[in-house]
Amino acid sequence: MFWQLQHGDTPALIELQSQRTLTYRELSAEVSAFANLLLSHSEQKRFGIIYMRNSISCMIAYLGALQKQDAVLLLDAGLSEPLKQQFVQHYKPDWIFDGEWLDMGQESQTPCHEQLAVLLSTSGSTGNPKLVQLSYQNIQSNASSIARYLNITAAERPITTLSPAYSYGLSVLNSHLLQGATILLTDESVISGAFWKAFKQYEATSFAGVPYMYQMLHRLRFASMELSSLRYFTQAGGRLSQSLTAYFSEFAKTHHIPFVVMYGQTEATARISYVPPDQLEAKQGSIGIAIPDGELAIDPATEELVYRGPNVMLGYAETRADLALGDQQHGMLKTGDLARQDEDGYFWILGRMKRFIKLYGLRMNLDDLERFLEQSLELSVACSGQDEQLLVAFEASHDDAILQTIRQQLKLRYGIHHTSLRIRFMDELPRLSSGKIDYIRLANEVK
Amino acid sequence: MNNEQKLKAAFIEALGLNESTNVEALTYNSIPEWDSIAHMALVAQLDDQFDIMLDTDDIIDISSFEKAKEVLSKYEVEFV
Repeated sequence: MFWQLQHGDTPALIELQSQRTLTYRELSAEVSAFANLLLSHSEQKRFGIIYMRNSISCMIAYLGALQKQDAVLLLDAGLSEPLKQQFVQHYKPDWIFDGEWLDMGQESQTPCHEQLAVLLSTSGSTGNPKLVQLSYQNIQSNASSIARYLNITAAERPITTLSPAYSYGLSVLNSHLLQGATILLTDESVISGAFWKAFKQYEATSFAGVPYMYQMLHRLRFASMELSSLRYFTQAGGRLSQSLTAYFSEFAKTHHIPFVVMYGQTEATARISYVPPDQLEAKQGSIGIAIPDGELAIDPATEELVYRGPNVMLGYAETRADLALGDQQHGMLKTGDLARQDEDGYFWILGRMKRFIKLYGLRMNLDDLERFLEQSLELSVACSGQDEQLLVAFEASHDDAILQTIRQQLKLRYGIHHTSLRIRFMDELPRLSSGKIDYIRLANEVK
Repeated sequence: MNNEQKLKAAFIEALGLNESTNVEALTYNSIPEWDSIAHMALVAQLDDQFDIMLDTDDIIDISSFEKAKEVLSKYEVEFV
């Protein structure tokens, strides 16, 4: 198991801000100490929340919870305070770690299922309390599959570019700890000088990015950067546009390093499929083939993409009591994506069955956004859009004051930048005869 | 519009600020509006408005209004 940390004196974590390094032996001692702290308060399995950053202290808390076998919900430390409070009130954790450990004082009222290891939010940025429940086997098996298809060795030094509370970011950490690699921990973004300075100084060998990050890298003239230590880079978290895929595969080709395009869902711990780098050019736009130990198929009746594997979640949780449910999925996940398979066995996404879009790699539930805007503005509203662009339509006449309020609220509460936002005022929202919003007509009318 | 006003307008548009904001006093990450996402929007505005293509180091360097003027001067954008 990757949280056993048996890799001796190899450096495990380097925290860039403090320049502090921990070897696997040192990390293991700190993690045991944290696990013992948890044990000293209760020998029972408990449930905690960790506000995650890419820092040594958060990694110790996370790994310590896994060792003691407490279940932990990982939330991004940058989440707004009201959203954090919503999770705390809804799930009533036994303890919270936010830089420091805080016992909430109650004996676990509701038991957690013994297999439950990690909980991740499906759409945490919109405050939806729905969580994905992952088992010890889920996180271990996905880390192991990823390490295999990416050929991760102890010589790797990935630099963090994503939140560790996000399944993709967490999978980078888990798979590298498994292989005894050295992780460069930072919360700096790719547009900060400090990030690139550290990248070069500590000779980072890989990074992971969502489409939005690749847009930024493109703007930063990534191809002109001197990054001699870079060994490979990966992309997931939504479809990368054709022009960006071409730009980055060209870079990979000239530098003779793999660019690995991947597909996944939090419901499958993180990764479901990948495109073998030597096929990237021929299969541009495809999500590739299933990861080792996984299996993809298409439901002939609905065209829905279905995944089977040891990394399929136990199930969802919507209340504290659900944490006792255990395995509901039995290794089978309906992805909610419509797909086809080509003659070489590669899969291609055709569309989405569920109502969400991806902004900055994060899933935004459109119904959540609608509910929030409706309540705060007391206007009829419909949210739609495609990845990287949210469309908000109001049943009202144009009003600059409202426009400004919407921009501010979406920015403050959800971190949605106004350039990713289209706001329309309409005399009447298009509706079906049932009175429900007609989203297809809405999308057509504002084109 | 002179270049100073053009630059100011670019900041206001990219960061989604109020017209009355004291743009001269802003620094990167000092206000919630100026995060990495807004920064890229700002760079796009500067490229378009001044018909230039900023280099990697210059994009990273633009950490305040003053710094932006300094960087733009290298691209022969003049401020009086």
